[in-house]
Amino acid sequence: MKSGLAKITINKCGFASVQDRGRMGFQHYGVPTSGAWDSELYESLELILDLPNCPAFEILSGEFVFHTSHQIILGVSGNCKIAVSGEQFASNSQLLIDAETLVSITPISGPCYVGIVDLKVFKELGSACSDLTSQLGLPLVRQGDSFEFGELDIDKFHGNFAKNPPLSTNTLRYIPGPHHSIPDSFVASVALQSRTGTRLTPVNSLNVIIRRDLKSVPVTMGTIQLVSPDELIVLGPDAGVTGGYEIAGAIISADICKISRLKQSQRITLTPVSHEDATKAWSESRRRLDTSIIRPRHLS
Amino acid sequence: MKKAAITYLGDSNLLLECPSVEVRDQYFLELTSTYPQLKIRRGMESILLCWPRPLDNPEAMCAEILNSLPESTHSDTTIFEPTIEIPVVYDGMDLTEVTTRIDLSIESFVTLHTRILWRVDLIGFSPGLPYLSPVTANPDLQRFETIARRDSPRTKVPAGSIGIAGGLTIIYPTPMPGGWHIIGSTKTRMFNSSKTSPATLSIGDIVKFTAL
Repeated sequence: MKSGLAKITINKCGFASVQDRGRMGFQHYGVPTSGAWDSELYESLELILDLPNCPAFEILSGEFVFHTSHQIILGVSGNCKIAVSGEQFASNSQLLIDAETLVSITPISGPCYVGIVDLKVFKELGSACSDLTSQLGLPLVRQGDSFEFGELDIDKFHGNFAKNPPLSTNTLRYIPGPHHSIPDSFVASVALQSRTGTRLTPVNSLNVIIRRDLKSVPVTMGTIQLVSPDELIVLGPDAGVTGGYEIAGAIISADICKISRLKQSQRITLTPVSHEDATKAWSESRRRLDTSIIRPRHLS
Repeated sequence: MKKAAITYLGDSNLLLECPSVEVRDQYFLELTSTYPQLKIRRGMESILLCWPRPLDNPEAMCAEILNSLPESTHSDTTIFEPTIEIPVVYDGMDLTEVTTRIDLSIESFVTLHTRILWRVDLIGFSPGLPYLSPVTANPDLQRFETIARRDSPRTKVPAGSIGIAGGLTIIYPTPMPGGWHIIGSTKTRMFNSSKTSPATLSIGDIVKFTAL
């Protein structure tokens, strides 16, 4: 085992932050859960590394390059390009990386998650996740940042990989209520994406009068707020825990992961569905995730 | 008294709208006792119940929850004692405009704001941010209720700013965008993540503002 401090150093970085499952149990203090924006891809990383709630780099845009001083077990999920000392590797897999190696990861579409076994990250209120709105956890990852990790346990390397077929993001299904005021099969374009919320501009202005006297209600990620007849917001993981805008509904659990994969100016359709349809979609998404992981060591 | 109504917020949450803050708190106690396995949190006059996965039979669950709610009681005789004092410098950037609008001198406004006891109805929107409503009877209180939010929010309000709108007072815990009228500021910290209970105020606390 090589001696000296084991760490990775960030050589180049776009928009990246540290995330995990989120900050649980503090919402009554006004603290958002935050955590990984694409829960399905993050869960896939957990399965690839066999590490529940592992801290991971969430890369939303830009090339992410780091140097590792020691050997590491790396996991990557999402649609991205990976190069290790210039050699291309497949995403959605677990890799054993040698010491003194340069690793480059570039998202192609949607976020990607990068985990390292035994990565040590600052935690605040029990979580490593960066809530950029509430300023909890670490700030955005920057060039020059370094992160330590523990001594390598080679038994933790299994060579796992995942099949993560792309999902269509042209339709987001939602459950209507409590102030349903948008037409069925409502079309809008993505105006702005952030972890706080995704702003949508309707193709046709809504013919509604927005109430401004609502008392604040608890909200969740995926809540669809009506800001004005020409603007809706689908709340993200860093959004406030309460909101005073009218609510058209909330994205169903199976489609929450699609929100982070939307592209600027993309046209999407919001479609109301029943609870029965939402439950079926959820079961299908769980089945997809559970059957996506291949563990080569367990095949023999 | 108007009864509670229940609606959906997505496929795994139910939103219970309550007729008042007081009834909300009665229901909250009952629901957290009856359903300890659920995540339950409060809005201003609402309660959100969260399941870990989509509900199989939401209609039946709605009925079960409504049937489990106790008969709400309203009390006019509660005597409130302040549990925390918050010192304030009343020199906010909107103080002059607000007092002019409601036809009070700055001195009278400050006297009113500091004479009233305020109850924390909600901690929400941002870590440690309290929403306070007056609990002391005062004939001038309706002047506060006429103060609507600003037409356009500021992009950044300093931490510790005291905001007022719609009869409520809030305290901004960190620098953030804000649409409330700023009447003053306090150095009392509203949130400290190193503490076991990181928010300085809790729902139900009775606050007295004091002028520095």
